[in-house]
Amino acid sequence: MIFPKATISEIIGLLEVVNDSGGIEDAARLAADFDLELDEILPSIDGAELLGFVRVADGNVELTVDARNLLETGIRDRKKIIRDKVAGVGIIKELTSKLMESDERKISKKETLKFLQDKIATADIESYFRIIINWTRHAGLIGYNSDSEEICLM
Amino acid sequence: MLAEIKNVSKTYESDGNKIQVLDSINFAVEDNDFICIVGPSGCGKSTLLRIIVGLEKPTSGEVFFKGEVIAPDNPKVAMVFQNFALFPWLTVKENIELVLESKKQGEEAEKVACKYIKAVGLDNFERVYPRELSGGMKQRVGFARALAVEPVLLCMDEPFSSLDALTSQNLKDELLMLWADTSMPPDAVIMVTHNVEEAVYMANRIIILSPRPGKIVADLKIELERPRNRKDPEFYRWVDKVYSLIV
Repeated sequence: MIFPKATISEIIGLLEVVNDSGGIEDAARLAADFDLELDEILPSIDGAELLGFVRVADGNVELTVDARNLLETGIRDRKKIIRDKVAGVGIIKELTSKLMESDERKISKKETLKFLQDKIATADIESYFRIIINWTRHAGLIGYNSDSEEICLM
Repeated sequence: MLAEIKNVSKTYESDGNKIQVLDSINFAVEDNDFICIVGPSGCGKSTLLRIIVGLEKPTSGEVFFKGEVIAPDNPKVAMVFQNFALFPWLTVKENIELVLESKKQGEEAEKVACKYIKAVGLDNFERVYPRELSGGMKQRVGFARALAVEPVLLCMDEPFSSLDALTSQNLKDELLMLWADTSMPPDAVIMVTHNVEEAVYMANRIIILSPRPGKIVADLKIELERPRNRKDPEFYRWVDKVYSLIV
């Protein structure tokens, strides 16, 4: 599988920009608006789609009802919506289950990287680890302690 | 009146040459002002901001805050920096608590830090070190740290320019949400930016400086309703207007 390499902030930023265009916008035009190449904005589009915030068809990116609800709420309530969405992402569900089954609900970073490597075929698994932790921390699901190099349930 | 910038000029000396960067800057800051200072590169925007917060002295003129000459340790004025300026060996929470040290200790400091951590959406990141944060999250720490001192005047020097375009859009919107919340500090904001579109998006007042030495060319009240839409033709008329005054 491919996991989108975009932070939660980038994904919400994308939703705000699409919202400014009336809720639907051509992906190439979105990129051009920010002087970006299409492949620079695609991870954010893929991330928004994975979280159920946009539908992508015929090169157009369209906000879903969930995205509109997210944009209408304040910072605190956004966190709750993000939590529900991130909790439903397959690889994060699997990682959460793995943590639930583990001793003390902690797993070493080394073991986590191995788990992710089996799911995401990439030579750069470390950057995917950072992105997944960015999502799960935002959601209050899984944290990472860089001193002990362990991930844990929050 | 909250602050007054009175006849501020600044000249630097380098190898015996005098370089004037600011020339007779005058303006007042009122409650509820969200001022963006824009102008061409090198026009002295950031120097002016540093003078306003008291980090630099003007060659002539003065800055008054609530009638008193500004001091660099004024607890009612806070600053957000372009490069975040976080201590890498401290966690998110410790970075915020550090600025409270002189005013609040122990549980009280923790309570205030937690309030602003939550306000900017940093909860769950309290014990994280800056090296583990994305640029957007680092600047959220910058905002929380500045807000934690509960400033009356918040000064920001290009706070979004180190961020990618989408993260920057997200942070601008969240900062405007905090600004719209009247229970939150500050009472006024001065933000320096080189980005005209950003200034029109954020400000209710734009001060335009000339090329060096920076003089005030215009002081515009931005009469656009919030939330603003970058695709709105009226928005673009304002962007064009500001550009035409800079070029």
